[in-house]
Amino acid sequence: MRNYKTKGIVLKSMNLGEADRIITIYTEREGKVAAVAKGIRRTKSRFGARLEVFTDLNLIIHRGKSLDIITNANTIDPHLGIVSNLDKINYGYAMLELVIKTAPEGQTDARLYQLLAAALDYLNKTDIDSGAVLVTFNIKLLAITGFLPNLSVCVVCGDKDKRTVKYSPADGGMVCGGCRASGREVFTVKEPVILLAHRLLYKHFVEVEAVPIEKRDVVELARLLRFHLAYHLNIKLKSEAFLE
Amino acid sequence: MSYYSKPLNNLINELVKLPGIGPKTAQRLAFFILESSIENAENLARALVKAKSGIHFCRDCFNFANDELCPICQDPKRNRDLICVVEDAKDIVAIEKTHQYHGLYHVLQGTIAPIDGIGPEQLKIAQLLKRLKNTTIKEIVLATNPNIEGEQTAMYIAKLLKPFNIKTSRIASGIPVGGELEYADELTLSCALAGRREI
Ligand SMILES: [Zn+2]
Ligand SMILES: [Zn+2]
Repeated sequence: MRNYKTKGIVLKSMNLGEADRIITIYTEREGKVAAVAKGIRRTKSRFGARLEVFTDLNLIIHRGKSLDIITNANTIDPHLGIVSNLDKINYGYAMLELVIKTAPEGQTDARLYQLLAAALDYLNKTDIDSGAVLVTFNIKLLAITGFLPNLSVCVVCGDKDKRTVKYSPADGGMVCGGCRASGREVFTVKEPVILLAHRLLYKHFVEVEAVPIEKRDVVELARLLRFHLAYHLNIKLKSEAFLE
Repeated sequence: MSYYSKPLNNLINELVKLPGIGPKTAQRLAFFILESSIENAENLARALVKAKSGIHFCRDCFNFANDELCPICQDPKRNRDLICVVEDAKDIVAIEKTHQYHGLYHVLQGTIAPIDGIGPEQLKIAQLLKRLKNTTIKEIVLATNPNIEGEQTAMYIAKLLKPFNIKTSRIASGIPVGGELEYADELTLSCALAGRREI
Protein backbone atom coordinates (compact mmCIF):
# COMPACT_ATOMS: atom_id res chain seq x y z
CA MET A 1 0.00 0.00 0.00
CA ARG A 2 1.88 3.06 -1.24
CA ASN A 3 -1.09 5.38 -0.59
CA TYR A 4 -3.18 5.80 2.50
CA LYS A 5 -6.38 7.69 3.25
CA THR A 6 -6.84 9.43 6.56
CA LYS A 7 -8.39 12.35 8.36
CA GLY A 8 -5.92 14.86 9.77
CA ILE A 9 -5.43 18.31 11.27
CA VAL A 10 -2.70 20.67 10.04
CA LEU A 11 -0.36 21.56 12.91
CA LYS A 12 2.42 23.43 11.17
CA SER A 13 3.74 24.29 7.76
CA MET A 14 7.24 25.12 6.59
CA ASN A 15 8.45 26.37 3.23
CA LEU A 16 10.50 23.94 1.18
CA GLY A 17 12.42 24.88 -1.96
CA GLU A 18 10.82 27.21 -4.49
CA ALA A 19 7.12 26.47 -4.24
CA ASP A 20 6.60 23.53 -1.87
CA ARG A 21 5.81 23.20 1.80
CA ILE A 22 6.33 20.52 4.41
CA ILE A 23 3.04 20.15 6.26
CA THR A 24 2.98 18.62 9.74
CA ILE A 25 -0.35 16.89 10.29
CA TYR A 26 -1.82 14.89 13.13
CA THR A 27 -3.57 12.09 11.29
CA GLU A 28 -6.13 9.66 12.61
CA ARG A 29 -4.48 6.64 10.97
CA GLU A 30 -0.75 7.30 11.14
CA GLY A 31 -0.24 9.73 14.03
CA LYS A 32 2.01 12.72 13.46
CA VAL A 33 3.09 12.91 9.84
CA ALA A 34 5.28 15.37 7.93
CA ALA A 35 4.37 15.36 4.25
CA VAL A 36 5.24 17.51 1.25
CA ALA A 37 2.61 19.57 -0.56
CA LYS A 38 4.09 20.19 -3.99
CA GLY A 39 3.58 23.56 -5.65
CA ILE A 40 1.33 24.77 -2.82
CA ARG A 41 2.84 28.26 -2.69
CA ARG A 42 1.85 29.05 -6.26
CA THR A 43 -1.34 31.15 -6.35
CA LYS A 44 -3.07 28.65 -8.59
CA SER A 45 -2.13 25.55 -6.62
CA ARG A 46 -4.97 23.03 -6.52
CA PHE A 47 -4.47 22.85 -2.74
CA GLY A 48 -5.50 26.51 -2.30
CA ALA A 49 -5.89 27.21 1.41
CA ARG A 50 -6.80 23.61 2.25
CA LEU A 51 -3.52 22.93 4.04
CA GLU A 52 -3.47 26.03 6.25
CA VAL A 53 -2.90 25.42 9.97
CA PHE A 54 -6.01 24.51 12.01
CA THR A 55 -7.71 22.86 9.02
CA ASP A 56 -9.34 19.48 9.61
CA LEU A 57 -9.35 17.47 6.38
CA ASN A 58 -9.58 14.21 4.51
CA LEU A 59 -6.24 13.32 2.95
CA ILE A 60 -4.66 10.90 0.58
CA ILE A 61 -0.95 10.58 1.28
CA HIS A 62 1.63 8.79 -0.81
CA ARG A 63 4.42 7.05 1.09
CA GLY A 64 7.59 8.39 -0.45
CA LYS A 65 11.15 7.08 -0.09
CA SER A 66 12.26 9.91 2.18
CA LEU A 67 9.25 12.17 2.68
CA ASP A 68 5.55 11.40 2.23
CA ILE A 69 3.67 13.39 -0.40
CA ILE A 70 0.14 14.76 -0.10
CA THR A 71 -1.72 13.80 -3.25
CA ASN A 72 -5.24 14.82 -2.26
CA ALA A 73 -6.80 17.13 0.33
CA ASN A 74 -10.46 17.82 1.07
CA THR A 75 -11.56 20.21 3.78
CA ILE A 76 -13.76 19.03 6.64
CA ASP A 77 -13.53 22.33 8.57
CA PRO A 78 -11.11 25.26 8.17
CA HIS A 79 -12.08 26.53 11.67
CA LEU A 80 -12.72 30.06 10.46
CA GLY A 81 -14.00 31.09 13.88
CA ILE A 82 -10.52 30.48 15.32
CA VAL A 83 -8.33 31.92 12.59
CA SER A 84 -10.37 35.10 12.26
CA ASN A 85 -10.28 35.87 15.98
CA LEU A 86 -7.11 37.39 17.48
CA ASP A 87 -7.84 36.01 20.94
CA LYS A 88 -8.92 32.49 19.98
CA ILE A 89 -6.12 31.92 17.49
CA ASN A 90 -3.41 32.10 20.15
CA TYR A 91 -5.22 29.53 22.34
CA GLY A 92 -5.59 27.39 19.24
CA TYR A 93 -1.85 27.64 18.57
CA ALA A 94 -1.14 26.48 22.13
CA MET A 95 -3.26 23.35 21.42
CA LEU A 96 -1.39 22.64 18.18
CA GLU A 97 1.97 23.10 19.91
CA LEU A 98 0.93 20.76 22.73
CA VAL A 99 0.19 18.06 20.15
CA ILE A 100 3.41 18.73 18.24
CA LYS A 101 5.45 18.39 21.42
CA THR A 102 3.65 15.58 23.27
CA ALA A 103 2.64 13.25 20.42
CA PRO A 104 5.25 10.50 20.29
CA GLU A 105 6.99 10.06 16.91
CA GLY A 106 5.88 7.06 14.91
CA GLN A 107 2.98 6.21 17.22
CA THR A 108 -0.66 6.35 16.26
CA ASP A 109 -3.43 7.29 18.61
CA ALA A 110 -6.76 7.98 16.92
CA ARG A 111 -8.08 9.37 20.22
CA LEU A 112 -5.55 12.19 20.00
CA TYR A 113 -6.86 13.16 16.56
CA GLN A 114 -10.43 13.00 17.83
CA LEU A 115 -9.58 15.08 20.89
CA LEU A 116 -7.87 17.80 18.86
CA ALA A 117 -10.74 17.87 16.35
CA ALA A 118 -13.32 18.14 19.15
CA ALA A 119 -11.33 20.88 20.93
CA LEU A 120 -10.88 22.96 17.77
CA ASP A 121 -14.53 22.51 16.76
CA TYR A 122 -15.57 23.73 20.18
CA LEU A 123 -13.14 26.66 20.34
CA ASN A 124 -14.33 27.58 16.84
CA LYS A 125 -17.93 28.04 17.97
CA THR A 126 -17.98 28.86 21.66
CA ASP A 127 -18.14 32.19 23.44
CA ILE A 128 -16.81 30.85 26.75
CA ASP A 129 -13.35 31.82 27.96
CA SER A 130 -10.76 30.37 25.57
CA GLY A 131 -8.50 29.67 28.55
CA ALA A 132 -11.05 27.15 29.87
CA VAL A 133 -11.16 25.38 26.50
CA LEU A 134 -7.36 25.18 26.41
CA VAL A 135 -7.06 23.83 29.94
CA THR A 136 -9.77 21.23 29.23
CA PHE A 137 -7.88 20.15 26.13
CA ASN A 138 -4.61 20.07 28.06
CA ILE A 139 -5.91 17.84 30.83
CA LYS A 140 -7.57 15.43 28.40
CA LEU A 141 -4.41 15.30 26.31
CA LEU A 142 -2.34 14.38 29.37
CA ALA A 143 -4.85 11.65 30.20
CA ILE A 144 -4.53 10.15 26.71
CA THR A 145 -0.74 10.34 26.60
CA GLY A 146 -0.48 8.93 30.13
CA PHE A 147 1.13 11.95 31.74
CA LEU A 148 -1.82 13.15 33.81
CA PRO A 149 -0.78 14.13 37.34
CA ASN A 150 -2.51 11.98 39.94
CA LEU A 151 -4.89 14.36 41.65
CA SER A 152 -7.11 11.90 43.58
CA VAL A 153 -4.87 9.99 45.97
CA CYS A 154 -1.49 10.46 47.57
CA VAL A 155 0.89 9.23 44.88
CA VAL A 156 3.44 8.03 47.44
CA CYS A 157 1.37 5.90 49.82
CA GLY A 158 -1.96 5.72 47.94
CA ASP A 159 -3.85 7.17 50.88
CA LYS A 160 -6.95 9.13 50.01
CA ASP A 161 -6.55 12.14 52.27
CA LYS A 162 -9.23 14.70 51.51
CA ARG A 163 -7.24 17.62 52.83
CA THR A 164 -4.25 16.90 50.64
CA VAL A 165 -3.68 20.03 48.65
CA LYS A 166 0.05 19.71 48.09
CA TYR A 167 1.33 18.88 44.63
CA SER A 168 4.79 17.38 44.32
CA PRO A 169 6.26 17.73 40.83
CA ALA A 170 8.89 15.05 41.47
CA ASP A 171 6.21 12.50 42.43
CA GLY A 172 3.88 13.54 39.63
CA GLY A 173 0.85 14.24 41.81
CA MET A 174 -0.60 15.04 45.19
CA VAL A 175 1.13 13.93 48.40
CA CYS A 176 -0.42 13.53 51.85
CA GLY A 177 0.69 15.03 55.16
CA GLY A 178 2.73 11.97 56.20
CA CYS A 179 4.70 11.66 52.99
CA ARG A 180 5.22 15.39 52.81
CA ALA A 181 7.32 15.19 55.97
CA SER A 182 10.05 13.32 54.16
CA GLY A 183 11.37 16.54 52.72
CA ARG A 184 9.72 16.58 49.29
CA GLU A 185 9.39 19.83 47.42
CA VAL A 186 5.69 20.66 47.14
CA PHE A 187 3.37 23.54 46.37
CA THR A 188 -0.19 24.18 47.36
CA VAL A 189 -3.09 23.69 44.97
CA LYS A 190 -6.45 25.02 46.15
CA GLU A 191 -9.23 22.50 46.47
CA PRO A 192 -11.54 24.15 43.87
CA VAL A 193 -8.73 23.81 41.33
CA ILE A 194 -8.49 20.05 41.90
CA LEU A 195 -12.27 19.79 41.69
CA LEU A 196 -12.27 21.72 38.45
CA ALA A 197 -9.64 19.39 37.00
CA HIS A 198 -11.85 16.37 37.77
CA ARG A 199 -14.92 18.01 36.29
CA LEU A 200 -13.20 19.00 33.07
CA LEU A 201 -11.51 15.64 32.61
CA TYR A 202 -14.74 13.67 32.41
CA LYS A 203 -16.85 16.13 30.43
CA HIS A 204 -17.26 16.45 26.68
CA PHE A 205 -16.33 19.89 25.37
CA VAL A 206 -19.98 20.78 24.76
CA GLU A 207 -20.70 20.07 28.43
CA VAL A 208 -17.93 22.36 29.65
CA GLU A 209 -20.22 25.35 29.22
CA ALA A 210 -22.40 24.00 32.05
CA VAL A 211 -19.45 23.67 34.48
CA PRO A 212 -19.27 26.62 36.87
CA ILE A 213 -15.82 28.00 36.13
CA GLU A 214 -13.91 30.63 38.05
CA LYS A 215 -11.34 32.38 35.90
CA ARG A 216 -8.72 32.28 38.67
CA ASP A 217 -9.12 28.49 39.06
CA VAL A 218 -8.59 28.06 35.32
CA VAL A 219 -5.43 30.15 35.52
CA GLU A 220 -4.11 28.14 38.45
CA LEU A 221 -4.94 24.78 36.88
CA ALA A 222 -3.22 25.89 33.68
CA ARG A 223 -0.17 26.83 35.75
CA LEU A 224 -0.13 23.43 37.47
CA LEU A 225 -0.32 21.55 34.15
CA ARG A 226 2.38 23.77 32.67
CA PHE A 227 4.63 22.98 35.59
CA HIS A 228 3.89 19.28 35.27
CA LEU A 229 4.69 19.29 31.53
CA ALA A 230 7.93 21.16 32.07
CA TYR A 231 9.00 18.80 34.87
CA HIS A 232 8.07 15.44 33.35
CA LEU A 233 8.30 15.98 29.61
CA ASN A 234 10.72 18.88 29.59
CA ILE A 235 8.21 20.74 27.46
CA LYS A 236 7.94 24.49 27.42
CA LEU A 237 5.39 25.96 25.05
CA LYS A 238 6.57 28.92 22.98
CA SER A 239 3.00 29.88 22.13
CA GLU A 240 2.20 30.39 25.81
CA ALA A 241 3.84 33.81 25.82
CA PHE A 242 1.03 34.94 23.51
CA LEU A 243 -1.86 34.15 25.82
CA GLU A 244 -3.74 36.88 27.73
CA MET B 1 33.91 8.79 -0.07
CA SER B 2 34.33 12.00 -2.01
CA TYR B 3 35.10 11.88 -5.71
CA TYR B 4 36.12 15.53 -5.72
CA SER B 5 39.19 17.45 -4.65
CA LYS B 6 38.74 19.26 -1.35
CA PRO B 7 38.30 22.82 -2.73
CA LEU B 8 35.66 21.58 -5.18
CA ASN B 9 33.91 19.77 -2.39
CA ASN B 10 33.91 22.97 -0.29
CA LEU B 11 32.42 24.92 -3.17
CA ILE B 12 29.63 22.38 -3.63
CA ASN B 13 28.94 22.36 0.11
CA GLU B 14 28.58 26.16 0.14
CA LEU B 15 26.31 26.21 -2.92
CA VAL B 16 24.04 23.51 -1.58
CA LYS B 17 23.21 25.78 1.40
CA LEU B 18 21.43 28.19 -0.97
CA PRO B 19 17.62 27.93 -1.14
CA GLY B 20 16.32 25.83 -4.01
CA ILE B 21 19.76 24.35 -4.76
CA GLY B 22 19.98 20.57 -4.44
CA PRO B 23 23.20 18.52 -4.62
CA LYS B 24 22.83 17.98 -8.39
CA THR B 25 22.37 21.67 -9.15
CA ALA B 26 25.21 22.58 -6.78
CA GLN B 27 27.49 20.20 -8.65
CA ARG B 28 26.47 21.68 -12.00
CA LEU B 29 27.06 25.25 -10.78
CA ALA B 30 30.43 24.31 -9.28
CA PHE B 31 31.59 22.73 -12.54
CA PHE B 32 30.35 25.76 -14.47
CA ILE B 33 32.36 28.09 -12.23
CA LEU B 34 35.49 25.92 -12.54
CA GLU B 35 35.22 25.80 -16.30
CA SER B 36 34.73 29.56 -16.70
CA SER B 37 37.53 32.16 -16.55
CA ILE B 38 39.22 33.28 -13.34
CA GLU B 39 37.82 36.81 -13.97
CA ASN B 40 34.28 35.47 -13.89
CA ALA B 41 34.93 33.68 -10.63
CA GLU B 42 36.49 36.79 -9.12
CA ASN B 43 33.58 38.97 -10.27
CA LEU B 44 31.13 36.58 -8.66
CA ALA B 45 33.08 36.47 -5.40
CA ARG B 46 33.41 40.26 -5.34
CA ALA B 47 29.72 40.79 -6.10
CA LEU B 48 28.76 38.46 -3.23
CA VAL B 49 30.99 40.19 -0.68
CA LYS B 50 30.05 43.67 -1.88
CA ALA B 51 26.32 42.94 -1.73
CA LYS B 52 26.59 41.47 1.72
CA SER B 53 28.80 44.17 3.24
CA GLY B 54 27.40 47.20 1.40
CA ILE B 55 23.69 46.58 1.79
CA HIS B 56 21.75 47.14 4.98
CA PHE B 57 18.17 47.96 5.91
CA CYS B 58 16.49 51.25 5.02
CA ARG B 59 16.16 53.56 8.05
CA ASP B 60 12.45 54.11 7.44
CA CYS B 61 10.96 51.09 5.72
CA PHE B 62 13.47 48.22 6.34
CA ASN B 63 13.74 47.40 2.66
CA PHE B 64 17.29 46.66 1.48
CA ALA B 65 19.27 49.86 0.89
CA ASN B 66 22.80 50.89 0.11
CA ASP B 67 22.32 54.40 1.47
CA GLU B 68 20.58 55.40 4.66
CA LEU B 69 17.29 55.27 2.76
CA CYS B 70 16.23 52.76 0.11
CA PRO B 71 15.65 53.91 -3.50
CA ILE B 72 11.86 53.96 -2.97
CA CYS B 73 11.97 56.13 0.16
CA GLN B 74 14.40 58.45 -1.65
CA ASP B 75 12.23 58.78 -4.76
CA PRO B 76 10.49 62.21 -4.72
CA LYS B 77 7.81 60.94 -7.11
CA ARG B 78 6.42 58.39 -4.63
CA ASN B 79 3.11 59.16 -2.94
CA ARG B 80 3.91 59.83 0.73
CA ASP B 81 0.28 59.47 1.86
CA LEU B 82 0.36 55.70 1.54
CA ILE B 83 2.29 52.91 3.24
CA CYS B 84 2.01 49.34 2.06
CA VAL B 85 3.00 46.86 4.79
CA VAL B 86 4.65 43.65 3.54
CA GLU B 87 6.27 40.63 5.17
CA ASP B 88 9.42 40.52 3.13
CA ALA B 89 11.49 42.75 0.83
CA LYS B 90 10.78 40.24 -1.98
CA ASP B 91 7.10 41.22 -1.76
CA ILE B 92 8.03 44.81 -2.70
CA VAL B 93 9.44 43.52 -5.98
CA ALA B 94 6.22 41.60 -6.67
CA ILE B 95 4.04 44.65 -6.01
CA GLU B 96 6.32 47.03 -7.97
CA LYS B 97 5.97 44.79 -11.01
CA THR B 98 2.25 45.56 -11.13
CA HIS B 99 3.01 49.30 -11.70
CA GLN B 100 -0.25 49.97 -9.83
CA TYR B 101 1.11 51.15 -6.50
CA HIS B 102 3.07 54.37 -6.08
CA GLY B 103 3.20 54.81 -2.32
CA LEU B 104 5.82 53.85 0.25
CA TYR B 105 6.43 50.48 1.91
CA HIS B 106 7.14 49.01 5.29
CA VAL B 107 8.85 45.63 5.58
CA LEU B 108 7.92 43.68 8.74
CA GLN B 109 10.67 41.08 8.20
CA GLY B 110 8.39 38.17 9.03
CA THR B 111 5.01 37.32 10.54
CA ILE B 112 3.69 36.50 13.96
CA ALA B 113 4.29 32.76 14.54
CA PRO B 114 3.39 31.71 18.10
CA ILE B 115 4.64 28.14 17.73
CA ASP B 116 8.07 29.42 16.69
CA GLY B 117 7.97 32.01 19.46
CA ILE B 118 7.93 34.91 16.99
CA GLY B 119 5.87 37.74 18.41
CA PRO B 120 5.19 41.34 17.42
CA GLU B 121 8.39 42.51 19.19
CA GLN B 122 10.54 40.52 16.77
CA LEU B 123 8.91 42.26 13.80
CA LYS B 124 9.25 45.87 12.68
CA ILE B 125 5.82 46.79 14.04
CA ALA B 126 6.89 49.33 16.67
CA GLN B 127 8.92 51.02 13.93
CA LEU B 128 5.79 51.25 11.77
CA LEU B 129 3.85 52.95 14.56
CA LYS B 130 6.75 55.34 15.10
CA ARG B 131 6.64 56.27 11.42
CA LEU B 132 3.02 57.34 11.80
CA LYS B 133 3.82 60.03 14.34
CA ASN B 134 4.29 63.46 12.75
CA THR B 135 3.65 62.32 9.18
CA THR B 136 1.02 62.93 6.55
CA ILE B 137 0.19 59.25 6.10
CA LYS B 138 -3.45 58.88 5.07
CA GLU B 139 -3.73 55.15 4.41
CA ILE B 140 -2.04 51.92 5.44
CA VAL B 141 -2.41 48.95 3.09
CA LEU B 142 -1.82 45.64 4.85
CA ALA B 143 -0.31 43.32 2.24
CA THR B 144 0.94 40.41 4.34
CA ASN B 145 0.38 37.01 2.72
CA PRO B 146 -3.23 35.77 2.69
CA ASN B 147 -2.46 32.74 4.86
CA ILE B 148 -3.22 32.19 8.55
CA GLU B 149 0.06 33.74 9.78
CA GLY B 150 -0.20 36.75 7.46
CA GLU B 151 -3.86 37.24 8.34
CA GLN B 152 -3.18 37.12 12.07
CA THR B 153 -0.37 39.65 11.66
CA ALA B 154 -2.62 41.97 9.62
CA MET B 155 -5.43 41.73 12.19
CA TYR B 156 -2.98 42.49 14.97
CA ILE B 157 -1.57 45.57 13.23
CA ALA B 158 -5.06 46.77 12.32
CA LYS B 159 -5.95 46.67 16.01
CA LEU B 160 -2.88 48.74 16.92
CA LEU B 161 -3.69 51.27 14.18
CA LYS B 162 -7.23 51.97 15.45
CA PRO B 163 -6.22 54.84 17.80
CA PHE B 164 -4.31 56.57 14.98
CA ASN B 165 -7.51 57.13 13.00
CA ILE B 166 -5.77 56.35 9.73
CA LYS B 167 -7.62 54.55 6.95
CA THR B 168 -6.45 50.93 7.06
CA SER B 169 -7.09 48.47 4.27
CA ARG B 170 -6.31 44.82 3.62
CA ILE B 171 -5.42 43.54 0.15
CA ALA B 172 -8.25 41.49 -1.33
CA SER B 173 -7.95 37.73 -1.34
CA GLY B 174 -10.06 35.04 -2.94
CA ILE B 175 -10.33 33.24 -6.23
CA PRO B 176 -7.21 33.84 -8.34
CA VAL B 177 -7.93 35.60 -11.63
CA GLY B 178 -8.25 32.92 -14.29
CA GLY B 179 -9.26 30.33 -11.69
CA GLU B 180 -12.59 28.57 -11.28
CA LEU B 181 -15.04 28.58 -8.35
CA GLU B 182 -15.57 24.85 -8.59
CA TYR B 183 -11.97 24.18 -7.58
CA ALA B 184 -11.76 26.78 -4.81
CA ASP B 185 -11.50 25.58 -1.22
CA GLU B 186 -13.88 26.75 1.54
CA LEU B 187 -11.44 29.19 3.16
CA THR B 188 -10.59 30.88 -0.14
CA LEU B 189 -14.22 31.03 -1.18
CA SER B 190 -15.34 32.56 2.11
CA CYS B 191 -12.58 35.20 1.80
CA ALA B 192 -13.80 35.94 -1.71
CA LEU B 193 -17.39 36.34 -0.48
CA ALA B 194 -16.37 38.49 2.49
CA GLY B 195 -14.33 40.72 0.19
CA ARG B 196 -16.99 41.10 -2.51
CA ARG B 197 -17.37 44.55 -4.08
CA GLU B 198 -20.09 46.51 -5.79
CA ILE B 199 -19.92 46.69 -9.57
ZN1 LIG C 1 1.08 9.59 51.46
ZN1 LIG D 1 12.86 52.68 2.48
